[in-house]
Amino acid sequence: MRNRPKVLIIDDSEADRILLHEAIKKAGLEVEVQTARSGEEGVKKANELRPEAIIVLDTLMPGMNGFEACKKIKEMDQDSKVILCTGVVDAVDAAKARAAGADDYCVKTDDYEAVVGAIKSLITS
Amino acid sequence: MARNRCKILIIEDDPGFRELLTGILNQMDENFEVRCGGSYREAREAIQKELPDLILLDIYLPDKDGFYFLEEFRKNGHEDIPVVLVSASGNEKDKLRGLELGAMDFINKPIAIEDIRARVAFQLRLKKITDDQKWACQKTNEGIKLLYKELEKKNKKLEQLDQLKDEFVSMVSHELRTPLTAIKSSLSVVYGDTEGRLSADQKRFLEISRKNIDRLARLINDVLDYEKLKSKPVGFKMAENDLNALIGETVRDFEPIAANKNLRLETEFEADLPKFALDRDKIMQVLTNFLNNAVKFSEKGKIRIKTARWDGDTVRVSVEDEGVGIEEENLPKLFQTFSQITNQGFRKPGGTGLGLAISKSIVEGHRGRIGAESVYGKGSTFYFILPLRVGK
Repeated sequence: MRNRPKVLIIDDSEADRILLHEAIKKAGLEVEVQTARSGEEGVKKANELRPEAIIVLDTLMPGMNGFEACKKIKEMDQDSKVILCTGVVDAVDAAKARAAGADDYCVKTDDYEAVVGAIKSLITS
Repeated sequence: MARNRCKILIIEDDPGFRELLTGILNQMDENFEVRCGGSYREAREAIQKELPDLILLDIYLPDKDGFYFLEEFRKNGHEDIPVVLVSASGNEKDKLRGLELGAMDFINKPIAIEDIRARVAFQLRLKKITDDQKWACQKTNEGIKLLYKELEKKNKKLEQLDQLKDEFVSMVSHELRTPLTAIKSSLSVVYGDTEGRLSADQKRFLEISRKNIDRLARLINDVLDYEKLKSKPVGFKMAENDLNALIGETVRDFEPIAANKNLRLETEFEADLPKFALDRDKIMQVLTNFLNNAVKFSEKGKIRIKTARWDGDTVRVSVEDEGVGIEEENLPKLFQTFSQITNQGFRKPGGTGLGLAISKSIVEGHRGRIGAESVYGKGSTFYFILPLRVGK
């Protein structure tokens, strides 16, 4: 039997970690969710989970921010799948996300609709 | 896993040249995925199967020429895929025609390997920048749409909450007024009937009760007034009035109250002021509110009430005191609902915090505007400006 895909949520906000996890469960995604609370911790965990994890990264975090973390993760493994998410959309940030190698860039709304959608499409791709 | 591989399509009828180009490209980057076609038909088949990142296109093909393919390709909406024409002619006319049809560059046969490499690399770099920008733009748009949707949802919720609050406040105020009226009339029965038989102390306590009931009634009226003004912005009883006379009347009512605190009331009226349409009771309410505040927050000096022509067809009514004043950062909060500013060292005077918000609605209902200026510690000026709609 195939293993369930892993999703790693890297976000400094505990509320976002919990709520996104809930949104993933509610959407019925058959995944194993792990979390990290900083860019640094996230990069370490991403390395351990290689190669199948889908990584959901918050852009704004103290210390290593999402863009830097994304770059590091992509340097370790070009094939990792990274979704950068943000509370405020910004064309410059979107361009930065692309430059950092992100596979997707989306906004965190109350229901995390876009983030869950992005995870879903990366699982099926 | 091969991801982000650059796909290059070569359309060239000479098999030897095709092979040469393929070799050069493969040497350039092993990640290039090079496909080939030898005719217009094969070119069409290739793009139908998968769109490449770059096309190297020979002008002379056995079935239809490269220009034909290029024109059709652009017409079908493939604007962002670079096409580089390859030709042996070196003909300036061909070059111009190619550029007109949407070619990005030209390579002349016989080819220089370095030249091809540089041109291909340049086109691919350009394509990547365009792709990146398109991606970022698309992602931003998606995000904005989502945020907008969320904002609308939140706004709707707030509107509902605001309405619920209004209904609640209105209901509570009405419910409060009924027992209050009962208490008030009962009290005046006691007070009136037993005038002679009351002791001085009893009288004093009854007086305190009466005053506080009046105050409570005023507060409740304020709340109701505000709700009414909010739900029905129109409903003013407009009639021609002499503003100066109306102000004089209101000020006279305040004289005993001011005298109690040793405050002087001074008036300065604009002599040449025509009668104009306004709601007498409502404007009096605003003025009363200003005067009440001025007396409440002043411990000394005078209060100046002034009317003056303003900006041509308007009149400005101001109430200027020498009281505690308002700190600058608090000025914008003054006319908001339920805002009350506390001044250090002074007790917080009672009120609903609705007075100025109501005044603002009234003045704006007259198409006027309201404002305040203040120097903290020196005094405040509250004013409103009304249009003189003479004859209407």
